[in-house]
Amino acid sequence: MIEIRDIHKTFGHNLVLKGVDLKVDKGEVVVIVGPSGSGKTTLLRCINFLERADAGEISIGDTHVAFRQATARQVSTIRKQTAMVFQNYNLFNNMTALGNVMEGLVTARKVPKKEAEAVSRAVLDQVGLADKCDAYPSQLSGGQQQRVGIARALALNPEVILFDEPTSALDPELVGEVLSVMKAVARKHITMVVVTHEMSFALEIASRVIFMDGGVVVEEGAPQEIFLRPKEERTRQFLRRILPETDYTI
Amino acid sequence: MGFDISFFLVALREAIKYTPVTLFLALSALLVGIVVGLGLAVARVFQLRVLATLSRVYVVLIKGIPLVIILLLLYMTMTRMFDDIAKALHLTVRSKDIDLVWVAALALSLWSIANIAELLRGALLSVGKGQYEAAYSVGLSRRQTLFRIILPQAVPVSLPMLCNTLIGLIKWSSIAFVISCVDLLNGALIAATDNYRFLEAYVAAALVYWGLNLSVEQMSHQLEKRLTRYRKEAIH
Repeated sequence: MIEIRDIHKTFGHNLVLKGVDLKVDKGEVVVIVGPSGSGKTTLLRCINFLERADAGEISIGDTHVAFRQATARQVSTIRKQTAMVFQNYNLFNNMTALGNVMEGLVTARKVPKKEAEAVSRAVLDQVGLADKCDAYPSQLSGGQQQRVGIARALALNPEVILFDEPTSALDPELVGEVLSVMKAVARKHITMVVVTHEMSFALEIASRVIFMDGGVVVEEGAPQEIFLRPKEERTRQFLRRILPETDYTI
Repeated sequence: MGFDISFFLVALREAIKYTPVTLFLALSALLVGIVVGLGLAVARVFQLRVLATLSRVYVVLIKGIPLVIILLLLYMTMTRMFDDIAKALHLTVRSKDIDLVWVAALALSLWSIANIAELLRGALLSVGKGQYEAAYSVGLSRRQTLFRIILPQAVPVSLPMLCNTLIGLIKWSSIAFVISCVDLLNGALIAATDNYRFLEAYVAAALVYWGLNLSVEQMSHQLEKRLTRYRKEAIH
């Protein structure tokens, strides 16, 4: 279980997170939606300390850390319990698909090479890339790269996988393959926090949807609640802009 | 006076005889430059406070001074200091007893550290921020990130420039003759002091330098091909 309390983050004079609380239970799939600049990506990046939040606390598993005071060792503990899938995949360019998946296991966690390789091959098989183990990122399509990215996160077997707009950089025809892998991951009851603009994915898979705007959580609830019966005016405005119109009048 | 082929061959032989000195000067400066320069470059890219400032000051200082002046300053201060210290310690050894090749090697090293630090910094910066983030996200430490992810991508990028630096060092090492250190160029020139056939000596030296640099170029090309396997497929 992850719990974040009262997280604040400022970039210069720009208040990006103004006190957000987030609780994610084990096996939950939480989807964060909201207009750009609402702080959703920053929230995600603060969880694994890619950004250092100015205030607030986080608990993951047995680790409780105050963001601001966290020591290097605490940061490393948190990072070892999380994994991230990036918008731009960020695969290690100097390693094959297999090398990418193995790296965290072998170098960071000191898993014996043989064991790590077996785990990694199995995970690559899960994302449908068993035949691409020896390919370098430059030889893979965007969709394949992102599936390796997901495999890299899965192999670490973390408490939570953070997805930062995992399909935003993909060509439209490649979005499907990544989403279907993500759905398969969700069905395995792996805890996921997903920032995405794919509303259909949120509607179908999310256990809970969080709508953020202006650095705060405006509304949260079951996907049907948020999408079909939003309570807040700001949520309604956002949905009107992002969801396809159901009737057209000419 | 025409071109004396037979003396040209004598000078050529002398130049080749002292080629190891030139190679020692260039390669030792390259090695020191890579080791220390990498430290300085990493200090700046990873923003290690004191070392980063030191690195910046050093680079600015050295880059603004011609190599000849670095060499002469070093030569004068080193010989004087050495004599003073030797005298104070009642040693009989004097500066004229040390091989001047060390002074030249030190001057070239000081120069190459600054140059290589800058080119390695550029190469390190060519690796995107996302690579660091991905490495941290799978739990690698900063050191592991540097050695496992960043350097393997930065080194191939820096290779053509390092090769250039080596070629530069081979050529620049010829200024060692200013402090009468006997290297490739000086070897050829000394042969000409009896008959004043300096033209032949210079041409001979030039030929040997050219041959050396051509082989460096070839070797670096081969090495680059091997180190960038992961990028090649994308281009072809």
